[in-house]
Amino acid sequence: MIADRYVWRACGSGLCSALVCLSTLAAEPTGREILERQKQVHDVSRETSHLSMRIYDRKGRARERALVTHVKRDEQGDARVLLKFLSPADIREVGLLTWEHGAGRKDDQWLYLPAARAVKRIAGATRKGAFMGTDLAYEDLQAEDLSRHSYTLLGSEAVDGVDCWKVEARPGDKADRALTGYGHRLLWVRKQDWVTARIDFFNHSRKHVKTATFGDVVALSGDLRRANRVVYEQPLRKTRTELIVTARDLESPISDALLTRQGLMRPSR
Amino acid sequence: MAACCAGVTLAGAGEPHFSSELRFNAFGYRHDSEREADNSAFESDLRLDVSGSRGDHLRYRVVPQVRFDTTDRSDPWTIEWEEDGADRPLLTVHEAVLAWYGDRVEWVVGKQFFDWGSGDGFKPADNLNPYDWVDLPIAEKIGVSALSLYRFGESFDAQLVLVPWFTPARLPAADNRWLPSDAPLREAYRRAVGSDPVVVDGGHERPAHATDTIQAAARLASSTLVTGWDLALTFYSGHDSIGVLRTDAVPPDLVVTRVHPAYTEVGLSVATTLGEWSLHAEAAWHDTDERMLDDDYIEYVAGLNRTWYAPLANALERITLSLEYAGETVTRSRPADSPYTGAAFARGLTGAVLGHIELQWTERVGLEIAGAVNVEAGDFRVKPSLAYEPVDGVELEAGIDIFEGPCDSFFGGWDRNDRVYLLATVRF
Repeated sequence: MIADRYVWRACGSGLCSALVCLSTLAAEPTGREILERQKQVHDVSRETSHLSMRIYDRKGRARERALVTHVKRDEQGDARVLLKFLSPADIREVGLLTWEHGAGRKDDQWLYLPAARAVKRIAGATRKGAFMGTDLAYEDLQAEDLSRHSYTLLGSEAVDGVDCWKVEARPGDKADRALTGYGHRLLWVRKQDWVTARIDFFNHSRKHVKTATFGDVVALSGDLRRANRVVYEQPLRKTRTELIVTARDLESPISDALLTRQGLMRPSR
Repeated sequence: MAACCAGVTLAGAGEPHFSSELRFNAFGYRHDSEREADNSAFESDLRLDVSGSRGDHLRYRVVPQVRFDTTDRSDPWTIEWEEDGADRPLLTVHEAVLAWYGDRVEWVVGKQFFDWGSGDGFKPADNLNPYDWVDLPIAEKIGVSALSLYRFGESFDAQLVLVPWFTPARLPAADNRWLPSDAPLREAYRRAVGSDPVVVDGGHERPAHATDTIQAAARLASSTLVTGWDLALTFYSGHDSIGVLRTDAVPPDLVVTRVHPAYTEVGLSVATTLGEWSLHAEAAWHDTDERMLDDDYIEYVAGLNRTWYAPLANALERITLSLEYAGETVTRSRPADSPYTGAAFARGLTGAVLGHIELQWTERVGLEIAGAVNVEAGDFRVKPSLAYEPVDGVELEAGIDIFEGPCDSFFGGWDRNDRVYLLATVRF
């Protein structure tokens, strides 16, 4: 799902490809329109990514991880996402399966722990917690859910010399707020290609807790872009997690059976 | 659309993957034992894990295992595939499977493990794999040779498992301090005959290796039928892997023979979430074929889990809590004049609270307290332990196993086996 995040948060198109978009966005867009446009441009029906992960503790010591993600989206746009660790040996085959649902319904999420050979359904609180010792929360592994947030355009600001829209995202209502550990987020979306350049995460006490920066943006086909490098930093904890995409496949079919509780237990190739 | 981008090829797919796990476990017991000379023990095992794939659908995994100990629990002369011997084999294949994964169907054949049920500390519907009870606190599942067919469906998933050969649970031998006391059997004999018996091991009667002893199990599971719920209905037909004891009084001898009653079992498990809690429940109705051999009963468990992240003002990384209640209801008792009695390792949780709490300071340091108490009998087991990971791939764990309760209670039968242990695990 990490890779899938790039689809919406770290990707974008250079030019609008449809007249309707040109007319819609001729004036300054709203925050929601920016996120909707980003999703429209970069949504794909399936994607498999291999990633390497480097987790730095507060003393700067690094731990290495390798993982694979499979994302498949249905006609409504809801995704089923499987994430599996490939190394090191002590967490190989640990997996996380997420079934995203539209507004009004909580996502389903299961964790597979091979040592216990058990697949466990996990609850909402878990989504706010740190994922496997990284600087990512479980909810960071889920795609941006436009139906559960309100978006406000705050203006324009450059990130690394690239002009960006600056958008504030807030949980939509009390129920949505309870599902997230973030009171609000600030997103910088590059105007030139709709790629998210940076996200600042704030907790419910409005304290800045985390920053994600997206780099090494590559062009795929047409308007499709992906960031091949993401860094999550927690300034208060002084920890950092780097993610590098080492391979990506947008064409090979992903079996529905793989994205089930039983599929979660399938050994990696 | 391009197939991929920078570093496009999915490198590594299909190539064999090797990993190993080496464990050292040292124990120190608080009390002497009539069965074992030493109050300390050491054991070690090494597993090599080889896995890979051929093409898009075929996968394999082989995990040979070598083990050694100072208490004769591993037979240095035994090499086994089917682990049906009384002792642990020196060399075995812990797991070996060949699997074909299709879009809708998957086949898995070989020595394998199953995990059916939603419980944490107790899973009444999970009975395809027998357990190794040679060291009670670290009971581990034994792999069984099986054929598993799984069919994926939109509303239900179906799985059928056939286990052609029966593998009994591995119980402690006569020279093992984890073998429960035979005092209850002696006392019953004394009451009936009026003198002390000479207990004679009558051996072990196993189901024959024939087609009529094939164990079969099926499961229907759904995560879509009821929104937000995992449901599973299971069926099992086979033999009790722990078994029961038949006592034949041939004064002055009391001949004790272990037999394995045939039974069928229907189980139901559910799991869901409520706010920040995960909830689960499971029940299984155990229907013994021959009424004389064993009771019919329903075992059940219900529990909840929760994880708190950065609790106590960020003093901890997380706290994980699991609580369960487990019990059983006998629906039909074996006749009072039956010569069969239950083996000590079966049906120990007849009204028990099981708990587990883990305090994680960092990803490398954690304290865990696990335990279970039978509420009515008052017997309990508790295990506090401290885990530390000094470097990647190396884990150290130190802990204490404590058993308490009346000597005729489930946990109380081992109250002279309190011990400290140190476990080191190296993965490479």
